[in-house]
Amino acid sequence: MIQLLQGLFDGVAMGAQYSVIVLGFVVIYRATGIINFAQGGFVLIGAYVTYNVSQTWGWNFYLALLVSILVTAGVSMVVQRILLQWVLRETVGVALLLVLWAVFYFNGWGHVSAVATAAVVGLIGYGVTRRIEQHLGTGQTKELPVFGSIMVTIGLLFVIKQIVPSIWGFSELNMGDPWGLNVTKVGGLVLSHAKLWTIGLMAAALVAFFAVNRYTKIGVAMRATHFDHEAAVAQGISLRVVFAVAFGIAGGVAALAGTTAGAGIAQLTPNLDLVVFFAFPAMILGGFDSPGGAVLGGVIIGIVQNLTKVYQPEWDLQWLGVGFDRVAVYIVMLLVLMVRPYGLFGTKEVHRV
Amino acid sequence: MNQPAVATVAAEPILAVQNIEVVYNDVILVLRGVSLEVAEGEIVALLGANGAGKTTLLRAVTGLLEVHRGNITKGTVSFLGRRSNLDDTSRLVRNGLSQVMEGRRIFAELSVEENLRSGAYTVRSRQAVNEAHDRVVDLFPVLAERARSTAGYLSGGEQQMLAIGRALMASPKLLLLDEPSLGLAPLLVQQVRYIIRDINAQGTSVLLVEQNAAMALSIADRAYVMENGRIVRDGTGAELLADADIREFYLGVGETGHRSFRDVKTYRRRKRWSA
Ligand SMILES: Nc1ncnc2c1ncn2[C@@H]1O[C@H](COP(=O)(O)OP(=O)(O)OP(=O)(O)O)[C@@H](O)[C@H]1O
Ligand SMILES: [Mg+2]
Repeated sequence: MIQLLQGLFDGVAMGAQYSVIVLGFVVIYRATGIINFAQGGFVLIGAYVTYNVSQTWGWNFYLALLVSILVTAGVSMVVQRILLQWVLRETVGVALLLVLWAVFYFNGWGHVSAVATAAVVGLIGYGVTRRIEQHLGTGQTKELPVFGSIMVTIGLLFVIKQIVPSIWGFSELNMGDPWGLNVTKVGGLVLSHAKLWTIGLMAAALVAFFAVNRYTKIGVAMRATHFDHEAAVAQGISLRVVFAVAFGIAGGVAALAGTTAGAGIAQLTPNLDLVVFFAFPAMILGGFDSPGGAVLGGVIIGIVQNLTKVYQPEWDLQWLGVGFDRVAVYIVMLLVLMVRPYGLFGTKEVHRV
Repeated sequence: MNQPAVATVAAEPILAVQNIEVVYNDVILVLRGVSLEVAEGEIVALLGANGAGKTTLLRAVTGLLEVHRGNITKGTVSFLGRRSNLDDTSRLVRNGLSQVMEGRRIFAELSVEENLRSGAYTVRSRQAVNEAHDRVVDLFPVLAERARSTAGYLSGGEQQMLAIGRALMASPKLLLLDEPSLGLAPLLVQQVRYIIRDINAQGTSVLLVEQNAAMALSIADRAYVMENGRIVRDGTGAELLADADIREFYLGVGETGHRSFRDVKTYRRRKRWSA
């Protein structure tokens, strides 16, 4: 009994993380129709930014987490505008920022003054380009075709996986989280603080997302866009805004997932993004386009994985192999798909023009 | 402007389409030099057979061509005296151009209330949204009764009301309607007709695309007839209602009581001359 409860608790903690990761995929898929393979990259960026702010700069861990969420959301939005929509003004602005930052830095400036100066020039570049675009009457929303976008996100994942270790190295790092190995025992149950916090933070993120999606103007706009892209445009809903918000949300939740996944002793490595692949079956299980499905799928996968770990030795199933818990996840996914080909909550058609 | 008003158009045009050519996928030429004007306060009807290019014309006006890989290759569109070819739809809606798309296109998974709110997306002031909401609900009490139901569960007629109500939420200066009577019972068609007059009486100009020529012409100040991507006739509603060809081919009431293939051929010939 205790074993079962323990498996369930660990499973929910792991599943909550999967849910949030899958939510990132689902939100982008619903808005734009693409699968954003760079999500793993955002997870990495989020984790390392938290590490950097909390360990290198010595800030409070929760503050570092908040900074990381904002930074990763920003990176995600910029990536979307520049790589997937080719918005010229932003490309010019960010290119100036990055190039001048590097130039100033290698000429012996400090990071802060280099970034600040480069940012000012970048902003001016952005404004000038915007003026020119408005004058010429260009600068409308351009979209890459879906397939092209997906290839771009795959490329981006590789780029991020190169850049992150070149900044922070390959070694295992401590994130500086206050949870460490602390546990609270309830009866025979061992509740690790890291897992309790993971569940709490993820639940808060999910509740926040559902509230936004359900009650706010932008939430209505996102759902309308998902249902009928063209009719949404006809209402004056700006796809630029919807896409940007979707990528922002995806980036923010990726940072949250990355930080909790990397928390604990020597847990942070440049392979942290692999957690995304373990989360993938949860997305298929839940149905690609359902946020509710993301949550349920994530939790189911987390529980299946942990219960397999608990009961595999118990039932003398060692011969199935060491990593069988991850295989079990795929088996469950396939079984569900046989009954419900579009996942638990997926819609049959995706309404897109 | 201090020019004298043009003969057919009484006031300053709120919408002016000048000689536009529209091409889909860079090759399919669908509009071949179409001009059309809507003056402030007018109801203008646009008639034409299936595939004539009516919906395409509306897309060209509202900036939705982009979604269909269409392009305006020649000519200009001006809304409120400002060239608007390159404006995106979002800005046009904010400036007062709303539309009811062909086939209603309500957000079936959203609630009725949410559908209405999506129509007010470009309206910043909460008070303006509430006022528009009151007006819409006044016009369509059923939308208030069913506010919380899923829009997809409304009847076809109610969905059409919702589509119109949604477009009115932005308090447009010009409302484009693409076949609002499609698939409605005669009684509901009448209702739609009254509603369009109501909306117009409250100060909104209307461009009405219709297959139901009798209904459209009976409320239109002026009308255009479109064939094969060209405007082939225009005139006041009454003029076109009285016109023999229009009566025969759009109202289905021939002078002789029946139509023969030869009549169709003469009509085509006559039309070629007039175009
Ligand atoms: N997205 C598109 N791509 C290519 N061709 C198109 C597209 N949309 C419309 N067309 C073509 O343009 C022509 C005009 O179509 P349009 O929908 O504007 O006609 P319509 O007058 O609105 O017809 P209906 O009364 O049937 O609605 C048709 O021949 C159609 O095949
Ligand atoms: Mg049409």
